[in-house]
Amino acid sequence: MSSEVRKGTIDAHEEALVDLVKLDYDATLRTITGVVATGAAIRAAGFAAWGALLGFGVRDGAWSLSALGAVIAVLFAYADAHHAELYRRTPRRAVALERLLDRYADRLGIDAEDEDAVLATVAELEAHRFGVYRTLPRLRRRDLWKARPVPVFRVLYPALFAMAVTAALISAL
Amino acid sequence: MSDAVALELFDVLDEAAQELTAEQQKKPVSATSGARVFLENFYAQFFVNVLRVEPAGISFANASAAGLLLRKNRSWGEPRRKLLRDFHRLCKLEPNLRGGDYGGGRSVYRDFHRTVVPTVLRDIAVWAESEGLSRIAMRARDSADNYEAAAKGTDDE
Repeated sequence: MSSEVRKGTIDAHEEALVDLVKLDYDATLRTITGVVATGAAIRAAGFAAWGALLGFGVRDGAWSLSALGAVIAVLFAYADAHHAELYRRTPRRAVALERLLDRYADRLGIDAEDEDAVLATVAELEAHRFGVYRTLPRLRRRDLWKARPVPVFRVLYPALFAMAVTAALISAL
Repeated sequence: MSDAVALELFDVLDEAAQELTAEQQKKPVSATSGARVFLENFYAQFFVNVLRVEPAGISFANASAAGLLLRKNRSWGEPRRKLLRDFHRLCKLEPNLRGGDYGGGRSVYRDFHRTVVPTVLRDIAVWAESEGLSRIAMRARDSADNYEAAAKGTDDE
């Protein structure tokens, strides 16, 4: 067996590379948690603001409040979609990192005596691009149309907007 | 190894250097830019004619392949290994250069033109000298100087 690979030995270089991957994985998980929490808060705040404006608008016959409710529905839909898209991208990175760590698990286990497999795994570790933020695919406006869940963005938010506009028109007439 | 890399390839880069503007250096480096076309074609020829392996394009997917080649071929001379490490770095940098993720940005694009390209060209020159390919070495050195001067010369724009 070459000096590159010895049964059961892992050098400091390899350990350091794996430590970086683990650090990256932790950061990715924290980002996912943060994005989910922020997204949920935005949705709740949006629904609450819309509800309050529509409620007062209908009660007082104030078309301007209902119209503002429509604007709020659009703004919060945009912010919510932005976070939903961010959330959709970060688990992909988590899965890629899990795949890399799984490969390393094989390197330690069944592939420990397979020189080619070990070299391939180390090469993958060296090719790892560190950083959840710098590797996050850029969000473009057209990506917001892919926001999930579909019932929220293609049904619920448009319904909130339509109700607010209808209420504004009725109040105005 | 007289036909390791076509000398005409350096004409592409020299033309790109003449047309390089400050504005271009603020934008993502497209796959059709002179510098990218040169690097892709240089490495394709380098892989096939020098390393005698399948050609690999500059993309993140090929970064680990370059690392593997380095580890499996410890007997290769340092100039050759340096070029392969440059390729590995370019592969990892490629997603940023494309502007496809948040790791890109003006400083990355500018650094590519002012530092990365001239550095690779000088490494090509060192490698070519080590293999006795003096014409390639001379063209690589001249192109490195031209490109670096062109990139930094846009500071006044």
